[in-house]
Amino acid sequence: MPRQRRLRKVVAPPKFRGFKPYGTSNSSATAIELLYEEYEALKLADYDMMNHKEASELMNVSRATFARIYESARRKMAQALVETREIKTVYGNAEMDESWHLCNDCHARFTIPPSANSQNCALCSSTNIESIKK
Amino acid sequence: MNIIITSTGDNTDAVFDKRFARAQYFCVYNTDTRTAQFISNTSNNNATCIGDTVVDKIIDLKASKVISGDFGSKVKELLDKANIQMIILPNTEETITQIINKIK
Ligand SMILES: [Zn+2]
Repeated sequence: MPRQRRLRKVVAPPKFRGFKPYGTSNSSATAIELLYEEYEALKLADYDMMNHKEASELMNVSRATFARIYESARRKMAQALVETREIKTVYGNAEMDESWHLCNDCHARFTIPPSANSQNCALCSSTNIESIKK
Repeated sequence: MNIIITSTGDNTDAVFDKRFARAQYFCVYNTDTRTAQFISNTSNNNATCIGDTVVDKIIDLKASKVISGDFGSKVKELLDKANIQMIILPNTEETITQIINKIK
């Protein structure tokens, strides 16, 4: 039976939705989708300078799984740079803390408490929202 | 309705403060009167229990929503319990006026 993958709870999601190259004519290329867990692996290993053991424990995955996620993240970053492609973050298998929602118009993230009288974006009232919890 | 926005200064030209508990100021924006009031965050130098103190203050200010750059898990739990809506902004370089103008 395959082991169920459970990543650590994420409190603060990445503070961007994507990166775009500039000074290139290759604007029609499709975006590369960087999963949240890949962003997190890259951050822990190359920004927070953790070793793979510490990072895998934090993400609640085996070292082998961490290595695979990390490898995938690096390949995607390299591909984006070389092929001048946009990078888009996608909420993959990351488990969000409670139910955060994302507004596709103003890009705010917000919670919806039970007492809230609106299910729209808490900032701009847009109805173009999505749940970022898997 | 009162909306709290974390701010680096005491006026609407100030830039948004992405820190919640350690924000310099809290802008209390009243959506009915469309007025903004600024309150200095006196607890931002306290070493401990800062999250609880600040959440208590937010509750005292009768806020329905809080706009900041990040919320720690402890703070989120407290605000969830108080039924206060949290909003995280991706762009942290905006002024309080720019953020207020987005509120609809
Ligand atoms: Zn919105």
